[in-house]
Amino acid sequence: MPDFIPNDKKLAELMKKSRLEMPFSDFEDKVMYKIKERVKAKKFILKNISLACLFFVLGTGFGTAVCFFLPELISHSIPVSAGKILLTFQAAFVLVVLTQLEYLIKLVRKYGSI
Amino acid sequence: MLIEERANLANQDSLYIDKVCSGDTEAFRYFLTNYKDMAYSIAVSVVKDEFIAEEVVQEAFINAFKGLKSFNKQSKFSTWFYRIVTNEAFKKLKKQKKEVVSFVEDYRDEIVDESILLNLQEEEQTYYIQEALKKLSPNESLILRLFYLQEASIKEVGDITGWSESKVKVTLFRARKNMYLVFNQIVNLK
Repeated sequence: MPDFIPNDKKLAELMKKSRLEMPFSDFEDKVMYKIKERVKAKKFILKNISLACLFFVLGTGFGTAVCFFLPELISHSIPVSAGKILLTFQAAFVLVVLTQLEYLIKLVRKYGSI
Repeated sequence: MLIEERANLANQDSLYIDKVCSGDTEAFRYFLTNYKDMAYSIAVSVVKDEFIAEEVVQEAFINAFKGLKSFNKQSKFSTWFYRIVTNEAFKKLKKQKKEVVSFVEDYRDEIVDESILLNLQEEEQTYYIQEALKKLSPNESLILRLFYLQEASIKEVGDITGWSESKVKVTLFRARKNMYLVFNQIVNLK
């Protein structure tokens, strides 16, 4: 360790003069504008997320109903194996539901809070 | 700062944090008004450029706004916020890959005359202090401003910078020495 130790009080006194003031007079307004824009954008996104959730629930409900009534519809109108068509539809339906659910979860996690 | 003043400030901070968290965005202006100067001083210590420092402080305030709900009030708001500013400043410095020439000299070979600085006029002192801080390394000027200007304790400085207490002490010790050396160099060049 070096021998010389500067007088702390003197340095403390001098360092009081090292405070800088923000030289940009519009700084506060600029930051507040950015923050308000951000809040506005977030609110818009949250509104869209809730709409997405609503349509997801409606779509899932409709898809489930179709799965339920599909065998009856097929048997009355198309002369092909109802089981195969139902299975294909159900597989596609589950795939769509899962991918959409993943998107929704990602969105909510990303923009869940303001 | 007096203990009472600090307690009042902490109470006010807490009040405004609650306001912002409950949706009053305009209440965040309180933090801008009260913390922008010290945040700017910290940012300039690291990045050494007033325009980049402004960007750093802006980013820090926006990040603080984003993370205000996660602030647990166990530490002081200032400590938490200055940590954000410090991280942002070092991130910016790294990004810019700007070479800051640190002042490294063997102080044992130098004779440090404090009286030169103390005999200067107040305005001159302020000018030379700012100049000397610009010449010091980011770590050293940061620690001097935090310790003497913000009057933070060693522990608080550690919390803000993320350094261990021993690193804070060593850096502070070196910063003090180098500060006087830079002073002397600048004043002698005058």
